[in-house]
Amino acid sequence: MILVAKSLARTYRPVVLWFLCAVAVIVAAVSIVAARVSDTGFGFWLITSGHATKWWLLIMGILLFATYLKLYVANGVTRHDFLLGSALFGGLTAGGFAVLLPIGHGIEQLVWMIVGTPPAGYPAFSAAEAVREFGHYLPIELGFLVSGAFIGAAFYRFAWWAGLLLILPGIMPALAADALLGGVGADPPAARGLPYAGALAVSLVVTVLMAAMIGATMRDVTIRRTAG
Amino acid sequence: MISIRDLTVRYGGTIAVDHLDLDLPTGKIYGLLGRNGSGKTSLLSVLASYRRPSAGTIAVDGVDPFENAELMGRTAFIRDTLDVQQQDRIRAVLDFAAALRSTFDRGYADKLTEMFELNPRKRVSALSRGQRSALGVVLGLAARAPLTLLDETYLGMDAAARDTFYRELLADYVAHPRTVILSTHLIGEVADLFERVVIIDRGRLVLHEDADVLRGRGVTVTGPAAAVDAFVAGRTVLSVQSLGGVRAATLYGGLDDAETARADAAGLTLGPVGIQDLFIHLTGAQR
Repeated sequence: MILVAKSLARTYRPVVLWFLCAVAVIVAAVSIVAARVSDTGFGFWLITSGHATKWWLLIMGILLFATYLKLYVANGVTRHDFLLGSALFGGLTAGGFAVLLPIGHGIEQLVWMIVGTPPAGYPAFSAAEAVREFGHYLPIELGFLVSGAFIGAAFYRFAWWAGLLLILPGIMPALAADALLGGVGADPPAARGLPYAGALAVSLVVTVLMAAMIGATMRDVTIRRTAG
Repeated sequence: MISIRDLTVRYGGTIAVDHLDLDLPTGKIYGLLGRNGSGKTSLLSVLASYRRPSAGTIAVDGVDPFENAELMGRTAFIRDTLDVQQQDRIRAVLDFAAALRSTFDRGYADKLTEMFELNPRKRVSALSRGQRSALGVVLGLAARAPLTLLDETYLGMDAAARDTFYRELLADYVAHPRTVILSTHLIGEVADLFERVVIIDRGRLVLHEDADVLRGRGVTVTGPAAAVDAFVAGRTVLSVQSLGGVRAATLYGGLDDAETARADAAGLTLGPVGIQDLFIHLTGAQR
């Protein structure tokens, strides 16, 4: 499990670094332009990177089995170890993003304060706010990762039409996390419909159930041939 | 010992492996022979735990290899389509295998890469069909896996590269004994490597025999055309080749002492039969 997680981390390290650098550059460029033309009143970092990271995890999840499962099994790794290793790697990546988001928020506010003052309505950063943001972003990132992985697993295991049908249940962890924990439209994210504890519990239950279904789907799956 | 009992692999309504029973003692080079669609790849896929059988069992030293971490780690299955990342460079592919396989010999992989004239900086997607096969050979041999399954790994390789493959396979097998199962259609070229031969057809076992015993199942009779024709009359002739007045006929079935003496008296030369001739006869007879 550790071997697989380490190996995936080695593979993804340059991809993640380039991705985060690209997001940071885009946020910086948009912030500079926006600050010159209007008083935005919201944090570009949280909006941009909050969306970018969760969608990135969704896509990583979708590609995980189609791209990597055969490589690991071909080198003597069991499906079970691959599933555990990729879960560990994915969980740590989601956790890393959930940590980076509030840190980036803090840096963004610092930059605003260096160049002037943050716009009115800008979400103020503090240690308590950072913890709160982390507590919202982590389940959202995990939900998107697991949704992507389930959709990828469904297309890998079943016929294309079954994969299409399974997108609907597969997207539930992402939808639940986004809707209940305020991943959509909120800056910073805030629980909606339920108190935070309830929203977190529902989101995590849906995510864990879907993760268990991924395990059931992939535990004895046939390793597909590479095309060509 | 690899024990296969009542093994069946189905793809929808198609039966690829049909109630196969087979015992394979370990530490030998096997030739797995069969016509297209005979079930060779399906059998290897089950042996490598790439798929579950539809029915029946496989046991390696009494243990089911499916999802068994120790046994899967001791098995290398190289498919003709090659399970690597297309955009990876050869060096990265070898590094990846070395990181995951404790038995992988990176130094030997580098040596083989050089022998096959593969540029380690080249991406897999940029390799020719033969070079991709050569990379498969590198991965298969350098893995030094106690159970090595090579499924038509020679595709697209030129004669020189195939010769290198055969020589290296034998040399490394002698230095590091293991079980090698080689699925191939180039029977004549590689037959001398086989210690045992398994022939399957339409998913069923046709024959599993020691290669030398198999060669003894037939005889080649060479001599003047008329004498050969007279000698082979009434026997099962697998093939006939003529050059001028000399004819060579391959017969199915051995000769007893009296027949051998009669051949000698007729001035005929007796020789071993090629496994390919026997394979064609045995699988042709099934259809």
